[in-house]
Amino acid sequence: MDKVGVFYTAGFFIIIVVFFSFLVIVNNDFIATTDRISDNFGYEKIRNLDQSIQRGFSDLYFLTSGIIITKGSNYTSFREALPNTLIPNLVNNVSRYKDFLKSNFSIVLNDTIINSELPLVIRPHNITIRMAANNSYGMTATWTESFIPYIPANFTNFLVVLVTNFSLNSTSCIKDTGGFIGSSTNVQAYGPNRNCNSTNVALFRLKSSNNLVLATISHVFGYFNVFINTPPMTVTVSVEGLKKTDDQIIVTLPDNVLQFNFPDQGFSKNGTIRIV
Amino acid sequence: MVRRKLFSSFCFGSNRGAIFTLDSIIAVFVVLIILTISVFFMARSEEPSISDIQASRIANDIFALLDYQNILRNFNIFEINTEINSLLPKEYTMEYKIECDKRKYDSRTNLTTIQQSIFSGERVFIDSKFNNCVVRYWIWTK
Repeated sequence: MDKVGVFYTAGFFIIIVVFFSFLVIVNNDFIATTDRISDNFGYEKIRNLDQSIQRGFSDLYFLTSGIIITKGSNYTSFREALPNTLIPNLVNNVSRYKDFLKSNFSIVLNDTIINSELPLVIRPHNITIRMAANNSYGMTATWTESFIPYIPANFTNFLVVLVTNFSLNSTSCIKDTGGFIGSSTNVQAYGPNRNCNSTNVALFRLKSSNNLVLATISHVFGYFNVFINTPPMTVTVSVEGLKKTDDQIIVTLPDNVLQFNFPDQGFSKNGTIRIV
Repeated sequence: MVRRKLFSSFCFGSNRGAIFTLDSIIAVFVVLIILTISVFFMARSEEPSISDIQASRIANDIFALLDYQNILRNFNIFEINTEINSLLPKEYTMEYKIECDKRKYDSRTNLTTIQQSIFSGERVFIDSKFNNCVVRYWIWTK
């Protein structure tokens, strides 16, 4: 009988140990699941906030900058009338938006680069376009392309469309230097009386019929510039023949313009803003 | 013979009390297990579950739609309420507050009286006068 009692005691002890082990495992799993759900809630809220902030900025950009951005399956174009008198308005609105985000959500919008250079990045091709900012008459583009070592561009050409109020003649489009290999630039100029065009230019000038230099364009490996010498003029720069990728073509601000920091959720992130 | 005697005395003899005690301990043990598991699952049912994210998503989708349709931008409360009533599933109730630089609207009554879990979110938008606005919303099951 003594041995039976020992067996009973040991048996109960084992059952209790197994039961409590089971309880601890289930409880830990439950706590982990609850934590993950709470994290998920937090991330969803931040993601939704991020998306709406990006959309808000995009609205602000489109409605107040005077810059028109359009895109297709293999091109993206940027149009701006120079001088762009709306830029101070954009700068003011972006500054207010920055203060609004800072005071309501502790989110930092780095508006310095936005205001000074108006940079836009075509992704995933990483072509950076700088629009004509305040009191500026030049638009530039930078991208990765070189001859030695040979790195081809991931697009075929720029198409620059210049619309001027000055009259043009048959010699208005002056191709000083032609392009060699790699990406190229084609120009179309529209005046009130006639049009002209040039293809595959490296250095280009547009002159009025009375010999006034209206615009100059230069294109070398990895760098493109269009400068308006005699405004007003509407400039459209299209990046054409963008190579197909698995990702959708989008236009954003540069990296790290938006900084999220939510210490309560242990979450911080540097991001960009999608414009188109 | 000896073995049968021992067995008989174990089951029906002087040790019968010990058997009953053991039996009742096992019964109490089973009841405790059932009680513990019940309390565990009752507590768990009050925690937010994965399916509750759906409520939060519904609210966000509704306000995203209002934003993309430029209804939020116009700050037309009647139109906003009409759209919410048409989009919100009947199982849910939602309240919201819009705060812009110069104007605000609050649809909330007393949220503290609500017994169910409430899920909230917020969304930034720009109104038609380029004011910076934020809409905060709360959703729960009826």
